[in-house]
Amino acid sequence: MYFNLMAKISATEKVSGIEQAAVTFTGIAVVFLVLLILIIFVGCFGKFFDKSKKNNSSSGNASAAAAIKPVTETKSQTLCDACDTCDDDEVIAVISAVIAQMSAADGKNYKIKSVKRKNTKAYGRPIWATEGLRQNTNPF
Amino acid sequence: MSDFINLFLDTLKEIWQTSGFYALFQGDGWKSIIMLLISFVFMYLAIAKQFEPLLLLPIAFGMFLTNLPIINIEDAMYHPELFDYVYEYAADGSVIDHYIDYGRVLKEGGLLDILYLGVKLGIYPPIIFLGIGTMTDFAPLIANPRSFLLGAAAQGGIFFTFIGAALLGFTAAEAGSIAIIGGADGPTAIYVSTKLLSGGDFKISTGTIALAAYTYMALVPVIQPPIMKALTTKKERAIKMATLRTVSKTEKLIFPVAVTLIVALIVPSAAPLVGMLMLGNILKESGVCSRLVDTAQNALMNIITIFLGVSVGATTKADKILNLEFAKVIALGVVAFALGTASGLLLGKLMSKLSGGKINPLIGSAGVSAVPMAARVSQKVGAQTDPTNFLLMHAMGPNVAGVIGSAVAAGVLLSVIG
Repeated sequence: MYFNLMAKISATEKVSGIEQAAVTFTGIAVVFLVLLILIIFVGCFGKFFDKSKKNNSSSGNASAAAAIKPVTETKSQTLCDACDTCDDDEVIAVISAVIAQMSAADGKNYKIKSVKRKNTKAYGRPIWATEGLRQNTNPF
Repeated sequence: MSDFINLFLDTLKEIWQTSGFYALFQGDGWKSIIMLLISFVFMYLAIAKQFEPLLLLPIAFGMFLTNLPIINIEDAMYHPELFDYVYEYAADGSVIDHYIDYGRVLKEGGLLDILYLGVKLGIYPPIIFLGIGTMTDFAPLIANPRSFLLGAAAQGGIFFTFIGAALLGFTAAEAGSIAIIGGADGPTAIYVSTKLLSGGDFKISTGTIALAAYTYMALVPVIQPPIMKALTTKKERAIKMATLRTVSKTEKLIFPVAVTLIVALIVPSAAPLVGMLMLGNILKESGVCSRLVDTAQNALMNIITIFLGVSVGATTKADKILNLEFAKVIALGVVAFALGTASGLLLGKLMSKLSGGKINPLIGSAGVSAVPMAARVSQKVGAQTDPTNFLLMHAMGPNVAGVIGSAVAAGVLLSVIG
C-alpha cells in the first residue's frame, strides 16, 4: 500500500511548466522524506546500540579493573627509569637508533635521560595513527 | 575460358557488393564511418586515459560492432526494429494492447539482441547493484546518519536538470532519462532510461544516456573540484571532522533490511535496485555467505558488466547519435553533474554553519553517487587545503547515501512518467 503522489505524465509528450515544477518538487520532497525517515531510524538504533555498548563496557571495565590490579602492581615494579610506560620499548629503541644515527653526523654524543608521553592526540587520534592514516589516504 | 573469367569476375563483384567496405560508400555509409571513429575515441579514452574502462571499453566495442556496415540485415548482430512495440487494435481503431514480441527476438535476433534482453527486461542493472552491495561498507553512513541529507541534496541535480531538458523540448521520458545522468550512477541511468524510452519513437537511446553518464562519471575529478573551490572558503575546506564511532555488526545487519523495507514501501519502483543493493550488503555483513559474496562481487559482476556494456553500446546506432539531440544530452549531462555537486555542497555549507563548524562542506559533493570517486575528490580537495585533514571516511557516508538517494529518485521518475 503506498500513496501515488501525483498523476502520471505522458512519456511521449512535451512537459508543461506546471508538470516540470510538479516533478521537481515531488522528486526532491520524496527523496528527502525517504532519507529523513532513514536518518531517524538509523539515528535511533545507533543511539540504542551505543547506549547498550557503554553499559556493557562500564560493567565490563569494573570487573576487568579488579582482575588486572594485582598484575599492574607487579609490572610497575619492573618499570625502567627512562620510561614511564614501558609499553613502547620498541618505539623508544627505534627513536634512539635514529637519534644516534643523526648525532653521528655532527660528532656529538647524546644521552636519553627521560621519555615522557606528550598529549599529541589530534581529533581523537594518536600521532602515529594520524601518520598511518595520512599514508593510507595519500594514494587517493 | 571466357565463361570461367565471367563467373570469376561476377563472384568477385558479388563478394564486393555484399561486403561492408562497399556499404561504407553507399547512402548513409558516411555515418557509419563517423560512428566507428567515435568508438575508437572512446576506446582510446578507456584504455589510455582509463576513463571507467571496465564499462566504457565494452560500450565502445559494442558501438563499434553495431555500426559496422552490413548489407544483409539478417547478418547484423543487433536489430533495433525487433524491440519496437507490436500494437493490437480494437474494431474502432483504438489501441487495446502493446508489447514487445520477445519470441521474435529469440527467433530472429542476433547475438547482441539476445544480450540486450537483459537490459530491456531490467535484469542487468539490479544484478550490478547486487555486486556493488557486496563491496559497500555502510558503516560511515550508519555512524553519521546526517550524511543521508547530503545524499538527498545532491539528487537536486537530477530534478533541476529535468526542467532544463524539458525547456529544450525533450519529451517527459527523454527529460527523465537525461536528468538521471545527474545521479552519477551508471546502472541506475541505464535502468531508468531503458524503462522510460520503451514504447515510443524517441530521439535518444539508452546508449546515448549510458555514454554520457559513464563519460562524466570518469570526469568527476575534473568537473567537481572547481565547483567545490568556488562554493567554499579556505576556512571551510580546512574544517577537521571528529573520528566516527565504531559501528556494531548488529547495526550493519539491521541496516540493509530497514533500508529495503522503508524504500520499497514508499517508492516501490526503486525496490529492484535498492533491494538487490541491500541483498548484496547483507550477504557481506552476515559473514556466513562468503562463497556467494565472492561470486557476486567477482564472476557475476564481471560477466554482467561485459553483457551490459556491449549491449548498451550496441544501441548507439548512427541515427541515434549523429543528431543535435546527442549534443544537447552531452551539454545537459555536465549541467546535471554540476548542479548535483553544487546542491550537495550548499547543504553541506548550511549543515556546517548549523553544527558550529563541525562538518566540512566538502563532503557534500560526495552526495552524487560515483562511488568511490566522488569521496576521493572530497578527500583530495580537503588535503590540498590542509594535508593533515582526512575526509575520506566522512565523505563515504554521503557517497553511499547518494547511491540510495539516486535509486529513490529513479523510482520517483519511473512513478510519475508513464
